[in-house]
Amino acid sequence: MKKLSYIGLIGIGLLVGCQSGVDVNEPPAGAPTFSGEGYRPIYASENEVNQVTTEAPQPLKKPGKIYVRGNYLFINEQGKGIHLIDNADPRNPKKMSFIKILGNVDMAVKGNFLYADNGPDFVVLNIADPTQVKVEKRIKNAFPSPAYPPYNQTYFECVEASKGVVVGWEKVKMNRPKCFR
Amino acid sequence: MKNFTLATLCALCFALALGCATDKSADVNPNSQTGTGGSMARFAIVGDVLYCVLPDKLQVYNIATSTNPVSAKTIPLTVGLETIFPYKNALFIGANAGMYIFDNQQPDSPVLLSSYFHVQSCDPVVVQGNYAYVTLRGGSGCRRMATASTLDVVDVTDLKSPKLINSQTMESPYGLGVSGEQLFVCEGDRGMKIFDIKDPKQPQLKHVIGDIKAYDVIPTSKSLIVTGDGGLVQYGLQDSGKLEVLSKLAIEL
Repeated sequence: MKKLSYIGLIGIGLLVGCQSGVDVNEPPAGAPTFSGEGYRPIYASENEVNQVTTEAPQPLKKPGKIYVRGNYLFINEQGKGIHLIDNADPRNPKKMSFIKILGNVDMAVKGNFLYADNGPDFVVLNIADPTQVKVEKRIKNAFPSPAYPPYNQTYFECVEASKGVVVGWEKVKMNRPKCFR
Repeated sequence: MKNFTLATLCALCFALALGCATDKSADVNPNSQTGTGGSMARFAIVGDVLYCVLPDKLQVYNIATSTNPVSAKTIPLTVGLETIFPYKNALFIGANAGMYIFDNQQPDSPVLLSSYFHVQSCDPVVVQGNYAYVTLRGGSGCRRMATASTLDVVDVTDLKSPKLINSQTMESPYGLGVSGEQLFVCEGDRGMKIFDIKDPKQPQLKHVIGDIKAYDVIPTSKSLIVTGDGGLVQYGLQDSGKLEVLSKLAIEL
């Protein structure tokens, strides 16, 4: 078992093109010099990913994609979930609730159903009552787990599958990490 | 009676799925069952079908039963797929190697019509009438070769043979939106640019909103919704063509 996870780790390392075996002080060919900041994976356990919950309205911190359906406006909070807004009056948009969906980036809505990515899973949520959103369906591992951050030409800490599911990335000060893409 | 309602609903859905042949491509019908995403979206719904653009394939789900998406088709493409924009009977898929155009008259079984690799594109595409507008973001964040950022106009009259007809330099473009005679281009930290497209082939820069951070935009009939690192701003369009701030949802740290 231990051997197997070891092989898995090497596999992941190869996938993301870790610069192992290269002098760590030399930037990879064509890469900029490391600035002192890189991306670090944010991990969650499978159990945490499965917890989709409706919470009280929350402040916007790192808004991502947006989606409009009728009078509703949906704002993705990168990696965290979706702000549900009543936008019947665009002069006075009202936050109704926050749907916690770890690893969320994308969404689409048809009728009372919200389709969203939840880390590697694909979930269908019933939003008929925006204050009590229900998970109708979960399709496990519908999406590939990210092996690198959604930017090119960046340094990042290599993903270690043993630490859990990657639900986002944070830019932090670090020593030059092994992975670059 | 129930059947009648169902039939009416179906007819309505069908009409909506056809895109209503309106020129306001990203406009939002308040009665629509289906919503609208920004140009950076990877998910899109057309009728009973949900498209998910994964990095290396187009995944098609049938959602006729809303609570039970069924995988209908998986279309492998090259890597680097980023965005999807459905327009009339076609899907425009933006990738960091170019753009793919699919026919989706049969929504659950799209057929590849053409791929457009004349540019190393990275960013999204929106379409109105016979023209696709594509932003290409140069620099390290997007492509290995740090080249210029541009706003390109591609003639898609013949979906099988898209042609580049206009290109102009941009600073750092992200999402974009089109509505009637206006084209909105998000320039990240540098704000949003508004182009006049009375002549759809030659966007003319009219206004720059420099005091916001703009990442993506959705034009709706009620407001223009712009989002970015500073939060979300909604604008109303004044008769003069200028934008008036209707409301803001600011970032709280």
